[in-house]
Amino acid sequence: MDDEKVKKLLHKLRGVSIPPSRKELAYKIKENIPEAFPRHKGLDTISIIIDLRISRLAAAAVVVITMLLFASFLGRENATSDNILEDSKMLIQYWFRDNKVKDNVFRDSSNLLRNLVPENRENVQYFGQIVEPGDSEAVLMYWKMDDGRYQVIFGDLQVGTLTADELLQAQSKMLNKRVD
Amino acid sequence: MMEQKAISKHLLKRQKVIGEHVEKELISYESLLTRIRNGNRAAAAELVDIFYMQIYAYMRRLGYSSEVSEDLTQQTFLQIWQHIGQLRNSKALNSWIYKVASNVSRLYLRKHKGKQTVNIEDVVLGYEKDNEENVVLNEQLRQLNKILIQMPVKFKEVIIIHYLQGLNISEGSRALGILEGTFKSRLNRGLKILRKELGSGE
Repeated sequence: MDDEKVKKLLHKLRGVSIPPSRKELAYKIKENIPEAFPRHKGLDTISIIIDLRISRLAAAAVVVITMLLFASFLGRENATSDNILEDSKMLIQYWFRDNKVKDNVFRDSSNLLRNLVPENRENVQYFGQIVEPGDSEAVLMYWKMDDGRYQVIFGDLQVGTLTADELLQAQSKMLNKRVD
Repeated sequence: MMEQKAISKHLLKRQKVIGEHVEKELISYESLLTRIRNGNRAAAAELVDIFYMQIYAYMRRLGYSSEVSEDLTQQTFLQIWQHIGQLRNSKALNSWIYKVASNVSRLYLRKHKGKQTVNIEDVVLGYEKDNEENVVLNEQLRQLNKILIQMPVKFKEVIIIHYLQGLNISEGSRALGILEGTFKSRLNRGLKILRKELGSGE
């Protein structure tokens, strides 16, 4: 069966009616319409992340890491040299003292982090589960750039660009350390 | 030549009608949003009438039972009321509502990880009555629906949102919070899975 035939079948499936919901559904939804709707808070993405997807800590971590990523994309070698970024980094390290919190943050953040990387997101590798926070040699996350080199975020949230060989060395070092 | 002219004239007219229809829809969405933001509950009820069946159908097509789909549709609207103040662009209303619905669905899946969340037996669709002509087609549609429901979520979502719910690539990618390129590649991979599975059943 070719793509066109599958698309035609999907088109037919679209025309197939779904059995309707119970009549009360619309009524029930309307019953829950509030008297007033909350005003715009100013931070769309963050609010939605907080309210719908993940915990506040993870949302905050994602926001901070996004700032680091953007700072890095703007051409800064050391994305944590500004005070606000330095403070954010310390804050994350403070949160991560508790392993349970760290695990939750890493688990919840991994998918969102992947979504935040602007290019070739399918190829992002993330090692949140095994990286110790603050470890400047451990590779937390990397992805391949157009020029064949790799953009890397280390465990201490420093951002760097490595060649394939350098990345391999960094990962071997990280694994050796783990085995030791 | 005359025929060609008549066709172009007809197409231009049709384009104009579609353009006017889209424009009217956007204007009505904008005024609807403004009224909702001003606390008009009747406008919110209008929004429910426009979208609740679409969202319910989306949940059913994702493979949830009718009870769960109703529950998730209600939760979607609760989230909409909570966040509608954040939506500034009325043109994005459609994709934004689907984005909220997709998030609600993903949250449900996360909460019920490891448990069976979709049930093929539950999804009874209103196929046309089997007659000689329709027997093969109906069987193919049943098979397609079954494969679709069992597909990995990330492919299932794009196929359903684009081909069954009718969102275009741009709206669909915004609704799922992914890049257009990723959306297209998932569509292709999803189609490949369907092609393969349907082929193996032939």
